[in-house]
Amino acid sequence: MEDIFRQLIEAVQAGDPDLASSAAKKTLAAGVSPDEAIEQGLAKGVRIVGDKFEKGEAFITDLAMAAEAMKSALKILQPELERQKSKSKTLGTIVLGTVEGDIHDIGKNLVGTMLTASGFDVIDLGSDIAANKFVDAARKEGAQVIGASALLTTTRSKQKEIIDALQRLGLRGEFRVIVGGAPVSQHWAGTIGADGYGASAVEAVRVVKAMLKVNE
Amino acid sequence: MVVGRGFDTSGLKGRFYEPLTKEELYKVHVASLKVLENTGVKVYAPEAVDILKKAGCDVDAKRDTVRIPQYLVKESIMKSPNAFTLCGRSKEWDLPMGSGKFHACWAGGVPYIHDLDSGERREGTKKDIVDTTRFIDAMDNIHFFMAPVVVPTDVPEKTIEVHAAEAALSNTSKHVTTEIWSKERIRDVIRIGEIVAGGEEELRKRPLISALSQPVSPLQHNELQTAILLEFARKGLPITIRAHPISGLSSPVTIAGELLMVNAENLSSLVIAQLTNPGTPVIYGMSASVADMRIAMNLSGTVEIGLLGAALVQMAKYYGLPSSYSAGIDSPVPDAQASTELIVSAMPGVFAGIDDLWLCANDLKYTFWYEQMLIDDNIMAIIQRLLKGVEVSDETLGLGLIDEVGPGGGFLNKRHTMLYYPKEHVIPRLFARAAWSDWEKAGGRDILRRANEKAREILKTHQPQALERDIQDQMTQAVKEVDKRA
Repeated sequence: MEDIFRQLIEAVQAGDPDLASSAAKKTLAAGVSPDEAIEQGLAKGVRIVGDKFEKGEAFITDLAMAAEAMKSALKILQPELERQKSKSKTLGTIVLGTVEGDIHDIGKNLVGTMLTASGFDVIDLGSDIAANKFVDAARKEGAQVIGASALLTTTRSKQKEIIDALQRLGLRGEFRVIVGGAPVSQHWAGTIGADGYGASAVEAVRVVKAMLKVNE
Repeated sequence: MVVGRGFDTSGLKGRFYEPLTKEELYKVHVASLKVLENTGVKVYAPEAVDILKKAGCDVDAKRDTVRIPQYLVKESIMKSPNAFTLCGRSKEWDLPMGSGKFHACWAGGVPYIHDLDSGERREGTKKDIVDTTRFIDAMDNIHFFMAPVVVPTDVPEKTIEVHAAEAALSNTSKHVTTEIWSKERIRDVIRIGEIVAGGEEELRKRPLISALSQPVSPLQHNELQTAILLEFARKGLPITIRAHPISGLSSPVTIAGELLMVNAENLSSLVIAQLTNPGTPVIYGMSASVADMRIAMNLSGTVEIGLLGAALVQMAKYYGLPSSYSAGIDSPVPDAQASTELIVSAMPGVFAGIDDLWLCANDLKYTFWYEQMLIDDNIMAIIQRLLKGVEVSDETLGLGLIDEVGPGGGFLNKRHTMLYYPKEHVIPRLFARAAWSDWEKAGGRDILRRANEKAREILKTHQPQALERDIQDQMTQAVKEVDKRA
């Protein structure tokens, strides 16, 4: 059993999707519960890579590949998870996008990668996304957090439109809103009434964790 | 201001550093043709898709993926002019592109400015775009710039570009390239240029303004950037095409792979421009960056950008197109790191023979510093001295002089020395060169504090060449109309 968990951890650490899916298959063959495989194997692997990243010993690409490996293992475990009716546990769901009129998606993609690797379920809407689309997606996905990115001074006001739309629909209390991007600051976040601001992808994860009271 | 008008304002001839061989250039070229023909690009602009389809491109059922046949790319390269001029209000600042001469452009477009008085980082205002333009006008070694230098937050969001064009053309005689953020403003910005040039035809003949159009990596063309390309092409006005992948994020992480991505994207923009209006003046450029994978940060002041930039210049020359890329600074403050970053990212491109080097794009964490511009102006003076090279003649060799002075003599009291010192030696005026005690006596200030003082002085005293009153009035009126309409 320990051996199987170690294989899962190693596959995630190595960022190797093939190794991860074959380790997941072994898990099922050995009759290990998928919940346990996630907790004792995959999640631990991701945490190790995440810790190394925090210390500057691993790169964002290692983290991205760890997430890929985890996803590939989860794909194998999914049917069994569904059969046992235990939904794979994530820390929370985040709807993410770059605001309307803005096509700069690199920062947003990095935040998505970091959140996924940290154990969140990320719904990436893409770029040039209208305020109502953020709101619709958040409702449909049962998200807790909406993340909106803007790189231009001329588009950051669209972040406020999301908050306005939530207010108009009486949904402001349902979702936390986090904003980011070059012309965005803590001050700006306060001005438009956002719940949080992340200056970097790393900080964004910290802020979302604090919002959802996730302890590590 | 820094060295006096020591150099030809129209630019100096480049000298050579070439990281790629002819065979390697050919390999990148062929790979780019394959990308465009097999993978294709997404074009989210129906008008451009129609143009591409009519010309023989393969367009998929969803009508956005376009595969471009090789012959179209080659034809577009042939149609692109090898040389043209970016004009200034004053002919002194006419800049020949494709002549092998070097020019520096201040890129700008950042949300923050470091306030000279309070020393704080704050958001930009309309006054800042006027002041920064006046300041650039005073820089001897920065040939032109992109408006606005700082994005103002106290003018209507929808018409910033038009206010920026007005402030730019009123406060400098140098060429202005514009960044445009909405489709609706493209014609309005061109209109401002036409007012100052004296009409549509006059602006085409003497383009006082140009624009940048950026494909979106990887391999996409969005509606706005394509609209800018189409509109400027139709008017026959110069466009800088600048692909901007980030290595390892929106392009392969290798230098060759990122170059391939830039080249394929640029060529696809070139095809759109030349199909729209054959002969459209295009500068082949990039605003590419690399990533620090430890912190997930995009960077422009790295040696890899220098390498990639030199390779890009070679690629442009391979096609016979003028070239441009952005060197930069990633340090949050103007310090030793900042200047090192600028030099390592700029020098390779300069010595590959770049036409138009952009400074500042997203520098100092998206913050404009007057002090850094002054330092950069000094660095550009030094670089231009390198470009000027060594003049070897009977006069400069001083053979007769050496014979006259003889062994053990001195050269200080010779006419030759007096005559040639200012011609041969550049003086970066911001640099401290005096003895310790003199430096200490003068206040013992570092370059940042000296630059701060100098910057205040320039802002207090420098007056650009004024526009004629009625042109100024027409322009102000046009901006008012746009504000009303928007």
